[in-house]
Amino acid sequence: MDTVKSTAKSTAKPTRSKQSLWTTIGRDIRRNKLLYLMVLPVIAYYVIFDYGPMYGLQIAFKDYSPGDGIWGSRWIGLANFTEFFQSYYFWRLIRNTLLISVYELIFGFPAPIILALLLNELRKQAFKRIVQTVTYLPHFISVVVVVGMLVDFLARDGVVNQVLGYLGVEARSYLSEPGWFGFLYVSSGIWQQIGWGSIIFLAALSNIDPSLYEAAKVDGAGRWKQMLHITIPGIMPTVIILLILRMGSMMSVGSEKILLMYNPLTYDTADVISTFVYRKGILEASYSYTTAVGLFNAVIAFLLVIISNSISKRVSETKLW
Amino acid sequence: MIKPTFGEKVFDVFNAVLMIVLCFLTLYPFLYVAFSSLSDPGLLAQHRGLLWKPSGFSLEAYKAVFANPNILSGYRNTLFYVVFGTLINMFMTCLGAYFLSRRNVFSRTRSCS
Repeated sequence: MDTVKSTAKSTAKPTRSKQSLWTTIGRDIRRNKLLYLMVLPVIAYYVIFDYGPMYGLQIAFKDYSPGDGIWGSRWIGLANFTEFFQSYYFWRLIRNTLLISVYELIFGFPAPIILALLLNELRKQAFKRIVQTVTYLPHFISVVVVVGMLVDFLARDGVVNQVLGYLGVEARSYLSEPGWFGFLYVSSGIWQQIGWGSIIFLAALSNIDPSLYEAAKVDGAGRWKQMLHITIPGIMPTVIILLILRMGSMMSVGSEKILLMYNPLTYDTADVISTFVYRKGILEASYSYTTAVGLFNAVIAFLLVIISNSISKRVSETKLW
Repeated sequence: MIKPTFGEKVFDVFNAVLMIVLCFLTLYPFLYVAFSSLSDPGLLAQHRGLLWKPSGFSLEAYKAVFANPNILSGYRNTLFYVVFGTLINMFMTCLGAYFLSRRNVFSRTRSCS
């Protein structure tokens, strides 16, 4: 009942800043019971599946053993973290994670944008639609199938080696050579996602005001100038939002596809933080250690999102929050 | 309509060729897999280079697939996850989105909506 009084008091006064957040929310809940009842399952979902499990994060600072339970295990401070920072794998994991992300950022990110711009320049609408439909196709097959095809095509006696054999290139098994992993990972990713990724940019393109193009034509701008001064600035906000989202996931390179593609021969360039956590934590059951690794990774990823958002706020008007 | 310049014409041709190459690169792996799946296993093993048609013809591979009971249960599970996963997802998203669109606790100007 305390809240009711303070609400009454604060509505009397013109200064609303003194009213606490909880009072505002409390009053709001009482006014709109049904609406809050509606959102309750969503909140419950987040509590149960997202915030609740964070309770278990404490094992990053503990010597967890399943017998003692999460709370009962012994505190060991930052020992898990120092073990990771001093381990042989630390720099290898950081390097691989960052390198694969950077390759994806440099080659994988612009690819759909370029495709969208080129599609936009096609004069025949029917041709444009055909290209679009064809390039969407690979998005709909699962990553397991894509990697299955890669394994089959790139095998020592696979079709790639057969064709290259005609050109006098010596056969090699590409998937067991560390030097090829990054290229194969990123290029197969582009193959799969270029068409699908271009949809959002094509949507942004269609939102550009046609009168801008007409004005540019009157001013004597050719197609190149139109693209440079109207199309590209027009899709820039979309590009920046997607870039921020991409930056946030830089430290968490998708483990799925790497798990399917790598093997002990290519760990040198293919093993990233998420696959390391999977191997050590789930297969070898060193839970505390890998929780520490995962937590470290999550903190860096979180910082990256914040940094890229604030950079984007400064250089352009676009921001996530 | 302004007449396209020479450079623009060259670009149009280049662009169209590039798109055709892209379509080929996208489609050919699928075609290769489809042709191999219909090929005779012995002939396929001897075949070298790109496939432009099934080498020989056999439906043995498909028979083997449908004889495998795991395929059926795999599809059953997939359907289950797709149907119920999508339902739950849509339900939650709708509730959350509706709430966010109607309520804005932090700006008190709209608190009566």
